[in-house]
Amino acid sequence: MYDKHIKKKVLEIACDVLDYDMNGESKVSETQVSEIFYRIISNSLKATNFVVLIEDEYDIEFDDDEINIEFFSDLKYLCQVIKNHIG
Amino acid sequence: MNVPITKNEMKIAIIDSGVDSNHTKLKDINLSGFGIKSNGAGFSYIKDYSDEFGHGTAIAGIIHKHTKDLPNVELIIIKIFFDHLIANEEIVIEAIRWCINNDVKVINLSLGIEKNNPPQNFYNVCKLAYDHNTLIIAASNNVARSKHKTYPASFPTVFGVDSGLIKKNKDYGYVKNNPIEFLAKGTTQRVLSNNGKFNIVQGVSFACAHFSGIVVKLIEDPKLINKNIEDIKMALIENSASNIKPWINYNPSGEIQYQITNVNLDYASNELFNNSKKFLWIRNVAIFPTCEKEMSLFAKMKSTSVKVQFLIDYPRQVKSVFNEANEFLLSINRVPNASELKKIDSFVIGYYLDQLFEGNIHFGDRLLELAISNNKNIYYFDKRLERKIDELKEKYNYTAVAYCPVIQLSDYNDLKPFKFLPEVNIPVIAVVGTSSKQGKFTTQLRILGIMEKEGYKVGFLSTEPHGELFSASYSFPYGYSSTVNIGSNNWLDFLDKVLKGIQFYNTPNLILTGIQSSIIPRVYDDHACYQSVLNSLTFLQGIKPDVFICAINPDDDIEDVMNTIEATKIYTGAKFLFCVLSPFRRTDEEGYESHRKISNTEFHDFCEKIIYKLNIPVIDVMDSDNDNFILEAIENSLIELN
Repeated sequence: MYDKHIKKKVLEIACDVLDYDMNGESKVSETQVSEIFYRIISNSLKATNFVVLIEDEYDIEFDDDEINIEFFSDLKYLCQVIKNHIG
Repeated sequence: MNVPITKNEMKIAIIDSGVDSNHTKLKDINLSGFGIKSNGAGFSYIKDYSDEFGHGTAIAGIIHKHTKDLPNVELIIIKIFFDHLIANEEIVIEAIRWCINNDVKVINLSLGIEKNNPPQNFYNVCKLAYDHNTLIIAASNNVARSKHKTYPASFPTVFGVDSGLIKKNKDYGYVKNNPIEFLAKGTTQRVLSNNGKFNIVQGVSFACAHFSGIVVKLIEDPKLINKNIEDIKMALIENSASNIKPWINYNPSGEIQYQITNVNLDYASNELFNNSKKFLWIRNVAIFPTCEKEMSLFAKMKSTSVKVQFLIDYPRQVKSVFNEANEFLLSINRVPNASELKKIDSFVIGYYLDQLFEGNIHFGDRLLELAISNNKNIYYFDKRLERKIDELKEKYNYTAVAYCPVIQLSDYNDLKPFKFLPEVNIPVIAVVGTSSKQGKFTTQLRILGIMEKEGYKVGFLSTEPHGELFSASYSFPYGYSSTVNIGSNNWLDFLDKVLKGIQFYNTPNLILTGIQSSIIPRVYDDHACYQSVLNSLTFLQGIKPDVFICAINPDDDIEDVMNTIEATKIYTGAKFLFCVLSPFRRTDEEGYESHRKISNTEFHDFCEKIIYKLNIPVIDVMDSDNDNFILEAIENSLIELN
């Protein structure tokens, strides 16, 4: 449940950064997730905003070593990193 | 510009776009800076080191992350990018000079220029930094498979850094045998940016900054006792992670690019182009076989660096190529006796294995064994003799010198550092020709003699195997029975370095050389002929002559002469001076190719024909009456070149 909540929140933030309308969909396909993340990493400003918004949301600060290509391409990895910070 | 200098501090300079010193992540750190601008007459040092782009701030942030726990680190920001992220080379050089003069220990250059040839001034200042124990760390380029190298990252005196597949900031890799030796984290990462912001980036600039931070930490490690650059490098190599892969594969073919680590060029100054030092061991020689065209020159020309004591020919003489005997020299067609052997320290041995008569080959073998069993030096042309010589060496515990002028891959590698020598800026004179066996080498020797008599210092690059016995600075014997064992795709590069070496170490006024064979094919279905022509073209393009002289034969058609001259001009852009006519016409007597010396009348008739048809000067290079003409033609061309 906890993981699902983080995942949902991350996707909301991502769509917010991208001005992406999910059309009220409750489930996001893997393809859609890929596309969302690909769009984020393609724009450094959006990528930076994405990171900052997640940090603000959970009141955490990511380590440099945690922010890498997987952060922006692997939702499972990102959720685990967040979870490590919030305990 | 006076930047506050505090003693005992490890100064790290970041030559970049400045820094946002108010960034939350950079407050309370030991940081100072200034800017350098070009003002037309020189450079202005200004107080402004603010960052309009964010690049310098990112670099400073990365380095600070690595070094924040070190008490003595001072970051000095040198801003060189103002209106855009482009600056000229001279400003970077000025910034590096400032660092050397102000005891900076490490310079981060997350920048570079891509060039085919390394920029000389840039190389010099990086070498100066290296000699002062100021470490420069520079980024490679971001473009995969770029045609050109990036400088200064590719200089041997600089630690070049590329992006590796690395997640952790502190990890780095070492790539052996590569111009860019180190890999650090250039993959996706968050960095500081200007105006207090952050950015998500990737690139070699950031890999370079990480590596600078890693190096500074290593230098400040009390366990590192010796802190000169070579020791730092060894420590870096030892501590590198073994499983780091480059982000971009340099060369998909897997070919290893050789690392230029040898910055000691003393070998070259002592020996490589110094003919007299290189051949101290050969003074008094016997020549065999006299009938070969190469050998006749020893009898004819006085410009040898060795003294010919006697000539040896086959017991059964074939038709002599030039049939010239020197009445003042002892000529024998038997093995020399004991008293004759005492007069010499060396034998010069030609291509006796080409003989059609078994008896003559057997004679050559006997002579070779006599030379080795008497511990005489051997200067030989034919690499095929090597195995036999090695066997005889072992049999007789040979300790003398057996030398064959060969260009090996190791020679090619030894000359790699020469890439950084100054570009050749002295005239290069080439002798080309319409065919083989027409006196191109003789022409070179005559020109050499004329110019040296006039006081010119000549750097002589020979393409004959015996060139070094005629005082050549270097030999590249690519012609008959070639001993150049590097691929022709490497010749341009190699010859460029040879000429640079001759210019730098021998300081001649000009360089003289000549091709083998011709550059126009005479036969259109002969691969060997085509290959020979291609080799000569490659050689010509490698030496890049400024002026040329063309050797011609009485057998040549007008078209042969014209085509050779025009083709040389097209391929090299060089200026044509004059033709030299060989006085020998080919004959085919008793099935052997031979030569007949033409009469004076025939000689002049042919000269007149060429002069009339092509309106170009044609001379007899052996006639000393033409010395002034040759000298003036060359001197006038040198004046025009200047």
